[in-house]
Amino acid sequence: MNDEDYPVRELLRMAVDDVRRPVAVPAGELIAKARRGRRLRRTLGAVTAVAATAALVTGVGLVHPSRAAPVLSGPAAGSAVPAAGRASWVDVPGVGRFSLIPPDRRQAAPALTGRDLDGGSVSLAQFRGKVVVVDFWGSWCAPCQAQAQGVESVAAASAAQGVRFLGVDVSDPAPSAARAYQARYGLSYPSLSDPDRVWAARFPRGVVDAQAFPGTVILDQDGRIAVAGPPSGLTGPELKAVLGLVLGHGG
Amino acid sequence: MGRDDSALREFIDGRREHLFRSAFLLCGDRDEADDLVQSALLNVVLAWRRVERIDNVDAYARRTLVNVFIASRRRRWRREQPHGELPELPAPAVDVEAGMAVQAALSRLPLKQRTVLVLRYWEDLSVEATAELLGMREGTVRSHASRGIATLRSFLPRGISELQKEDA
Repeated sequence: MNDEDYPVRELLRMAVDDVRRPVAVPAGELIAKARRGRRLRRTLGAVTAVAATAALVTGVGLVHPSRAAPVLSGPAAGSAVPAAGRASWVDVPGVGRFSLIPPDRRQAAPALTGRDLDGGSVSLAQFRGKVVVVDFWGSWCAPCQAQAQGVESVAAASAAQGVRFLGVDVSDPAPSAARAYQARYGLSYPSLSDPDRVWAARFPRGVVDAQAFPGTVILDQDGRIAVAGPPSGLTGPELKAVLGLVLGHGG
Repeated sequence: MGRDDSALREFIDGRREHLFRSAFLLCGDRDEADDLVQSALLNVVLAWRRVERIDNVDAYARRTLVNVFIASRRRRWRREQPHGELPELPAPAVDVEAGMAVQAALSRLPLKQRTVLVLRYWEDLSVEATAELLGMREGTVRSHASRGIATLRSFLPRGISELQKEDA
């Protein structure tokens, strides 16, 4: 019998015919997991000293003392070069993960500028000297909707501390939909209209996912990127706690 | 969260079963196969925008799966000689359930022979495509394939392959 006659195809089919695949992670979760991993690899650099961060956190009023001890997570296996400036992932219990970039490694944010949703001009430059929260959202984006109210309440509460918010309205099909969104959640801050999704991609790699929203970036008083939020942005309570870290840090 | 994930989801849901079977044939373990597929799919997700344009996502996914598998056995893969000796083990008894017998025989095949057989006869790749994917010469692929078949035959109870041959 030569090779061509041997029924290898049929044998292989027999070998897998009755094998049941284990229950698999749903496709959506798998996609999210892959993107979280990418974010980690991009932004994760050397982990700063635990002591330094602990001092930083306890110096802040916004984080409740019971959850004030941050856990620094180790770098992911084989993590790549952190193009976004070296950041450490800080895991504040009860708050979540985000990357806080040490002051000496912060990169400048792109000069966001353009029209707001009412046609007026708006730019990052007008907030010079303030800590700025850049909030990427779209009226089509369900997780953005879920977070909008919480984000707005932090915007209102932190204004007195000199924090300013700038929205970036991403890929909205019509300005009217975006304006309705602003009205529905009572957003007090201006949003830059970004129908062609250009601004997220102008941030350094790994700071904000240009494909998935919402996204949160916090800039220090010098307009440099201090915090790259997790891929899903920061919810109100998370944002409040993280802002505390930035303000406590002296910007 | 992005709006254009539907094609990606469709690909994952549509091809996962096939990838799982390929992975199972390669590694012989259900859970490991599942892990291999997941690793391969994570890579597909990250490369999606690029591979979507290349228009051969299937080939990309297959290549990634094979690479992940080989990486998991890197040391053995490197050490393995192209013409390994056949282990002298008795063929299993004829009354073993057929699918199980083939699984057992496959898992005893030297790594490269097994991988070549899976690519050539399960994925139906040509000798050229198999050689390219594995970074081997075509002659080496042919030799692994023919050795693999001989080994497989020697491991299987006679009844199984003959029965299959009559069916085929």
